[in-house]
Amino acid sequence: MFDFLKPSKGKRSFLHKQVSTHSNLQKKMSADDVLDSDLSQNTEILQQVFSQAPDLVIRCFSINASKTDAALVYLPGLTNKDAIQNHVLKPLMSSSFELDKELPITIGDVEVVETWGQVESAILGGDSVLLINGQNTGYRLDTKGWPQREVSDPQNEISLKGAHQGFVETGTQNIALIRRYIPHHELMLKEMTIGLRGKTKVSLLYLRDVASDDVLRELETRIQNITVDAIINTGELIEFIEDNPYSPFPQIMLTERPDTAVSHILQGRFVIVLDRSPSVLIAPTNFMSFFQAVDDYGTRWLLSTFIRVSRFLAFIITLFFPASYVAFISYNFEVIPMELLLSIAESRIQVPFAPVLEAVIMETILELMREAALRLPTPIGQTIGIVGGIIIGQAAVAVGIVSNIMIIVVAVTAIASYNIPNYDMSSAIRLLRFPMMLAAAMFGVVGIVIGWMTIVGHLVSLESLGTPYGTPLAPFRFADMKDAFLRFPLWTMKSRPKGTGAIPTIRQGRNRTKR
Amino acid sequence: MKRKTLLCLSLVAMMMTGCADQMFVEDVSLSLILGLDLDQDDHLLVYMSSPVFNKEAKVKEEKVEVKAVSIRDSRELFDQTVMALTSGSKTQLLLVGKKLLKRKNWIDYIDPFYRDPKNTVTTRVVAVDGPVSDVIFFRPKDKPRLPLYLANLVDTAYRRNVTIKTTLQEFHEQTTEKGITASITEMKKDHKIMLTGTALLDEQSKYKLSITPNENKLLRILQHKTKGDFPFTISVPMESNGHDHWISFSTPSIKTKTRVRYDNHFIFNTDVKMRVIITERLFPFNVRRDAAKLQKSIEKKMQADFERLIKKTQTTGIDPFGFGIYARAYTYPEWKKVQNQWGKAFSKADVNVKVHVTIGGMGTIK
Repeated sequence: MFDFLKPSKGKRSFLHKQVSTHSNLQKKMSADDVLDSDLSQNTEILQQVFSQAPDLVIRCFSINASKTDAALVYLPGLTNKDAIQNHVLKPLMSSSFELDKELPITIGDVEVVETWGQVESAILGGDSVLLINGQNTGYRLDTKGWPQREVSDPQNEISLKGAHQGFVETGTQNIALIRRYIPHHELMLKEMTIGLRGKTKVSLLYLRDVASDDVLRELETRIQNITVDAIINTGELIEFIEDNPYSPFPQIMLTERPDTAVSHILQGRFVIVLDRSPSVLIAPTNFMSFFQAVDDYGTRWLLSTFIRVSRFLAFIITLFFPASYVAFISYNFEVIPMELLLSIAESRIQVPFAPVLEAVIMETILELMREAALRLPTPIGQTIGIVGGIIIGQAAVAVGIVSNIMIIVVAVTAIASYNIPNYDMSSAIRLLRFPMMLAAAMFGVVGIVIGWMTIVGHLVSLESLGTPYGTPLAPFRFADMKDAFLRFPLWTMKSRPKGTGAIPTIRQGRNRTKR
Repeated sequence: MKRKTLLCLSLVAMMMTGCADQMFVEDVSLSLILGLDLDQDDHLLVYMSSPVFNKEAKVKEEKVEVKAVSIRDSRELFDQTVMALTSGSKTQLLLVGKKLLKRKNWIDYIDPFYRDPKNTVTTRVVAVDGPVSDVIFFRPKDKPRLPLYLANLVDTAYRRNVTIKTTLQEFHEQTTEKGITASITEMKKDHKIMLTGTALLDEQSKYKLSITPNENKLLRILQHKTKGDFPFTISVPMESNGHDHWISFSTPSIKTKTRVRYDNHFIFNTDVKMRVIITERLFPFNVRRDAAKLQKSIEKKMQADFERLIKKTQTTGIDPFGFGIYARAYTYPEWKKVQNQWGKAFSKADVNVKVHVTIGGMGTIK
């Protein structure tokens, strides 16, 4: 199906094809063709190859001592000007040296390139290539220096006690951020390239002696099987490799925090760093891990247990509160205490819509407001809150579009849904409350039960990279329950979670013995 | 493909079964109070009070009286007049007129509460001294809507043991249990609504006797239901100057123990151990020195009160205390013979109540 894209068959990249069709020279160029020893010939070919890139710089100069002609080729936007001028051109032009000896270039990463394919990818990747007359090889010089963001606080995963460094858009930087935490030789790095046009470097990080081989093989196969133009961000990658793309639940976790990523690596999971993406993937995951935040482990265990429990409460509220409202108001009003029932009925009687319609209207408005506030620039975004608060909160009730109690339901649901630390999981649950409301509207409390059973059944059957998603609940793993609903003291969590398939399960010795 | 179509079809089919039994809360006329009474010609009258939620209504309560053959029949008649669909699922009080209470087999009327699970059984059963219409059409200006007021009144009075609170569930137990006769809240309306104590019914659930709030406390103690407050204010006989010696005390702990034996007739020995804390004393007395004396006189007074109450019930042939349950538990062969006329057997029984009072505190002043 993707044959037309496969480089092996066409034996040339798309760029080459364009060049050959557009250039007058009908010379066919292939990625495996080697460089010529004649410099002028080489620069001519380069100009043909990069005829669509007018910003390409081919700096011709002569090497000082031997008066040999040379050319330095690079794309100015992707390279570090300082490195090229002071560490490549200056020593080459000013000092005298023997050509057959080592070049006086003060750059760490220098590599000999032989084929045009290598030259092309080096230049496009931000390196510069030095061609010397009379030599049929060139030098790839690491002068990368594209525009880059500073390492700053993670924007979307705020934490009180975690590190203030978030991932940036450069893959190597992100790997470095992770390496800083685990400077150990068993931290493995596997690199792959995906995307036929936008070649993206994908790096797999894991602990070789801990992580499961089966999961690794599965993950590698899935990534290698991707044939697309380009992967722009990590979310796209997830869609290609996750187990069940039809599920509302995220099966691979996204994070922009190095500390979160590292904690998962230490538990025997895999981290996938995608170049050009400011977040990394963590796989395999389970349902429970979406309710854990890095702060949990930095806070006293009693407090973090309390917070952990409140998150699950938030999950229950988000999923069931609007649905219960609909069910109770339309079927089983008997369960509401009498005083509350009277005030609910008083505010409900002004509303001409059925409870489910009222609930869907309000929940939809909430989602609209959330999306609007997200997309607007921050200064304008605040007005959304004011407009929403005044119009929805007061006017809608006064006019009789919704009831007072519905406002409370919506507000509580919204607040609860934002309590779930992971954005993907919280969105999934927010989405699920709509079918729940529908089920409640049709079958009352029985409908809620049916909806919940369906969700539980789905969660239990779900897998993340072949590992069970429902663990430690289903399959039940008693030891892993220490870090599920409750957060036991750290010294009691002696073993790594079994659900990941990690091999040496013991991860700490006897800490806090009697003292 | 075929499977998917089938799945979609079954989903749609499933959805179509929904919504059928929907009943929105605003479309319901909750009969918060249901009243049962007899008119002059002994016809059943059913009263209902239900809240009105609409803002345009000046009065927030609908009160209806209908002549019906049964409660279920009255629902049809209510639906003919009230705004929404009548529902008995939140009934707070069941008011029963004394006239009806005195009639045989009146409890057959409350059958729908037990039979139809849509109705609640947490309804408080209340006897009304006088016509029920007086209570139900009463509109006090300084009170919230009547059902809330009455429900609250019964609940709070029950906490201080001014009266008893019997829900329909408990009432069912008391009427079907052979070892105990039913007791329900009693209410009267003169110019305002008053809880007058507890109405005691006999084995056929016919009205027999009314007891005062003070006697109600003793009833609760003998029933071994010693939760809540038991504040007493009694006059103790003291040998000093002639006038009344009023003393009030609260009882943080009451322990009741009943033993039964059979010797030609049933003999019940009930020990009531009370720890009292004096909350009011209207005569000079040195409690520190003469505690034993005060204890003795309180014991004597209480014991007399208990005996009077028991005598009263024995003469009417009812056992609201549940002594029969003890008789069955410990003297089954004898009980078996009289179980169907337990009231009669109980009236011949000896009931000895012994009160032990310990003064646990005399308050914060001497």
